[in-house]
Amino acid sequence: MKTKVIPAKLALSIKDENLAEKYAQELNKFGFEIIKITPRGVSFRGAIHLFEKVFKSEVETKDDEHKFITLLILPKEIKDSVDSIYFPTKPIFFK
Amino acid sequence: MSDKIRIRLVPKTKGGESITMDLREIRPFYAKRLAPDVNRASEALKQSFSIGIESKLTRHNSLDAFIPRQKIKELFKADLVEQIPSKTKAIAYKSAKKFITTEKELKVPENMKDTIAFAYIPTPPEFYGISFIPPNVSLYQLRLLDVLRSLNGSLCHRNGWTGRNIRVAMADTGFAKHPYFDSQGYNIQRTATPEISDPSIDDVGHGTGESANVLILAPDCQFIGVKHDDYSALALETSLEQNPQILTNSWGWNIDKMSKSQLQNLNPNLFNELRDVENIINDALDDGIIVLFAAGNGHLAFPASLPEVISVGGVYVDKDGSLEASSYASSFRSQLYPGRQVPDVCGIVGEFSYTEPMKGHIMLPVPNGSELEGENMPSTKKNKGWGIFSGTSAATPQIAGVVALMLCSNLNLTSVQVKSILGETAKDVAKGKTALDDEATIGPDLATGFGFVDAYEACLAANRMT
Repeated sequence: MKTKVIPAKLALSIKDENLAEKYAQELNKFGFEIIKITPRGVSFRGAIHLFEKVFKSEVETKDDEHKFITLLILPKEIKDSVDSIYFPTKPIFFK
Repeated sequence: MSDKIRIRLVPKTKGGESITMDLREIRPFYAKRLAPDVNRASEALKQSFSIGIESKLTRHNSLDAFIPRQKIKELFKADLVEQIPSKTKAIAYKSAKKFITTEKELKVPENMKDTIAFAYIPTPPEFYGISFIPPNVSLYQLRLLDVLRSLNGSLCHRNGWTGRNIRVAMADTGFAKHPYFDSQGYNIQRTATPEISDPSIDDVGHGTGESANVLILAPDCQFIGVKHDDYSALALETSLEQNPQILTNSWGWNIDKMSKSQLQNLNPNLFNELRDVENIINDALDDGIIVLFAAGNGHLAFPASLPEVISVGGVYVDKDGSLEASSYASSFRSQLYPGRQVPDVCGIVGEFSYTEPMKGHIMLPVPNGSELEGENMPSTKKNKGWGIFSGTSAATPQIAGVVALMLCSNLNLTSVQVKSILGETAKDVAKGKTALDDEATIGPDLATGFGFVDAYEACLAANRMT
C-alpha cells in the first residue's frame, strides 16, 4: 500500500515560476516525478513511502483519499514561499 | 481470452509484384495480377504445418492461422500488446473488448519467405450503433433546441452573435466523439491533464453531455474540452493554458457549510487545496478570464461560492414556458465567504423526484456504454448514445455559452460587467423551491439569484456598452 504512487501539489504562496522550477528540481532529486510546473507551484507524484520519508509525516489513506496525519516538515531545500503540500481530493460532478 | 491468436498470412502474387504497392497505381486489369497466387498459397499451407502453425486456406488464397501466444514472438519476432479499440475508448468504453495486436510489423517466418508477402493480426472493426438524432421518449424533457429557445439564444444567432472566435474551455470527465457533434459541425478541441492520454474517453458521459449545452448556445465558439483527472488544480491550470476567454466548470466540493478556520481544523489537506484553487481562479480572473461554476445539486458548493466567479443555479422550464426555481438545484449563503450568496443567475435544470423519470431535464448526447447513457429513460436499445439529465452541471455551460454570445456582441466586457449584465437582464423567477428549500420570490432572491438568464437581452445590453 505504501508503494502506491499518488499525485500531490506543492503550492506557492506567491506567483513565481522560477521558484517553482527550482523546487521541481529539488523534488526530482528526492525521487519524485514532476507532472507540471506553473507559477503557482509544482504538481508531482511519488510513492506514499517517499512522501513520508521526505516530509517526515505519516500519510493516511481512507476511501482513496490521502492526507498527512501530522504536521509535515519541509526539507530545507524547499522551504521559502511554500504555502502547502496537499493531496488532491476528488471533486463532485454535479449531474 | 483464447490462448491462440489469429494471424492472416498473405501469399505473394503469381508474378511476384508487391501486393503492398501504391493502390493508386492499380488499374482494374492489373488488380487481378496482384491477387495472392493459389500455388504459393498451397505451398505456404504446407510450410505452415511444417513449423507447427495450425492454418487453413481462405477463399481468397490467404492463410488464416491460429497460433499460440507464446509462439508468436518466436515465429514472427514481434511482441504482443493489448489495446482498446481507438474510437470505442470514447464511444463504447464499457462494451469495448480489448484486442491483441503488435506495435511492430510481423516478420514472416524464415521458411515461408518465398511464399508469404506479409502477415498481420486482424484488428476488430468498430460498429457505430449510436445516432446523431435523439430518441423519442414520451417523458417531458427538453431538447437542445428547446434550451436555445428558452434562454432566448435563437435571436442572438439571428443577429450574428454565435460565439465565433470566442474560446470556451470546460474541465470535465472527458469529451467523447459523438455523431451529434459531428452532425452540427462544431469546432471542438480536446485535451487533458498530463496524467491522461486520451481526453475523448468519457466513461461517465458527464463532460460529453454537458458540453452540448455550451455548443447549442454558442455553436461557432472554439470549444476546448479538458479532461479532468480528479485533480482539480491541475485541471484548472491545464484549462487556463489553452488561453480561453471563458472557463466553465460543472464540479466542486460540498464543503461550504463551515468557515475557513473550521475547515482548516477539520480537513487541513482540503483547506490547502481550497486555497490553491482559490489562487488559481483569482489569477485567471485577474487575467480577464470569465469563470463560471455550478452551484451544485443540493450541495453547498465551492468554488461556486468564490465571490468573483459567476455561480449558476437552476430554473425549471415548464411545458408552457413558465419558470420556477428547480427543486434539483442549490441555493445557499456561503460560510466560507460571509456575505456571498449562491447562485448569481440561473440556467435550465429539471425537477427532482425520488423516482425516475424526472421531468424537465435535457436530452444530451453521451458515449455508448457510459454511466449516463439511458439516464432517466426507459431502457431500450434505441436509447444508445443519449441520456436525459441536467443539474447545475447543464445550467453552467448554458450560461457560459450565453457569455460567449455576449463577448461576440462586445469583446471588451470584463468579468464584472458580464456578471452585472447577466443579472440586470435576467428574467425574474418568483415561484418554486430549490433543493435546499429556498423559495423564489418577486425580485432577486437566494433561490435563483437575479433569475433566469435572457441571452438576447444580455447581448443587447452588452452591445449598448460598445
